[in-house]
Amino acid sequence: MPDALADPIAAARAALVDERRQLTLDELATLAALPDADLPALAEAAHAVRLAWCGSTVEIEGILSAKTGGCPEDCHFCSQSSRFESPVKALPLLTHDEVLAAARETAELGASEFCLVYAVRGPDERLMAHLEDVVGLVRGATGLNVAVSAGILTAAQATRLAAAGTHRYNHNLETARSFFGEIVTTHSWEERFATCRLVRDEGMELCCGVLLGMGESDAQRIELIGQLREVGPAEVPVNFLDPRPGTPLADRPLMAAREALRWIALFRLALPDVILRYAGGREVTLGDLQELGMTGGINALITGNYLTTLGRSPQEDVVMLRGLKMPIGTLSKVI
Amino acid sequence: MAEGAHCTGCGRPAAECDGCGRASDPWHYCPACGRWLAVQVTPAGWTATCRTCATTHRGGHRT
Repeated sequence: MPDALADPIAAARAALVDERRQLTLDELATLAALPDADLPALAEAAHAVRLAWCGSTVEIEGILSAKTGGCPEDCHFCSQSSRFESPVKALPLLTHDEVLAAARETAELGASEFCLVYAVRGPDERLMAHLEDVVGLVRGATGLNVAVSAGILTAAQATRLAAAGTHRYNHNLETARSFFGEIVTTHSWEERFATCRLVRDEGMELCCGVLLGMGESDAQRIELIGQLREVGPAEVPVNFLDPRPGTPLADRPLMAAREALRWIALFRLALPDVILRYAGGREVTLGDLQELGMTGGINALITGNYLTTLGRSPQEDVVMLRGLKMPIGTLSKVI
Repeated sequence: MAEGAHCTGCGRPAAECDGCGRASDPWHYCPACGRWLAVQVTPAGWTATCRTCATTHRGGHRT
């Protein structure tokens, strides 16, 4: 067994691949403090863990903002808040036909998952009725697994969404509990945590993402990992802050590529069985280095455009995955 | 981008802004009149409609 003091990366790899033991938060903090020179070895270990726990398949998802802008919440990174002077303006709820058209586009891009996203605090009755219609319509018309992201849920709403056939429900913790108040003041971290719990209680897969680069410390990222473990997500989308004009975080610098790759590797080492998805900000943060994330812990991606911003061409993702010999398919969390 | 009389990133006249839109953003302002566009982004592209000019602009992915 490698000596954890002399070679913490080899020790972490052995713990996860040979012993199938989860790393402690202290062990993760040690890995987070390693010098940049260790990044290639860290990424290599993360890739080995991903292959051992999840295989080589990559899951592709498309996302659609089905109700854009006008959100009453004040998430400081978000251009869809009505509280900020952002170029993103409010639009009405998309019609069933508009949602179906976007779902068909998404299926043609090679995706197996389609996430409908609504800029709301939580669903009202009109939105619930819409969701109960469109989830089944999209699934029936395209064969896609349908995910929903509509904010904070009540227990009764979670029950209804599960009954409607929602495959995954997305509700991000975004950041550590100790940092959340710096980023959002209109709802609490505890409210988010409670919705995450409801999702799992109702038997839906939980998609619970993070947003890195908002000013949180390394210790707070480790804290976040511990909190993610508590909610037990099937999927963790990894977003990197793309500072949006008009938001309170507009002037924050982009995260450095090497730091992003380090944290991709650490999230994989921390959460070996989750679907770890490339999400918003990957293009601006990693540029030509996106392949390194795929060989450093990532096993899923959002392809094409995001909610209000543009991603790279899906064809570029397909070419990347072909080059890496990573098959495209559907994933579920290994339990 | 300033492909018309106005910048599509900020809506100001092209003489005042030679294009502040980002590669990761769809157009937000009408190149003809500088007014706000109703923008819908989808996985495969985007549309931006000017209610004043009654025109719809379309695009794809990040350039």
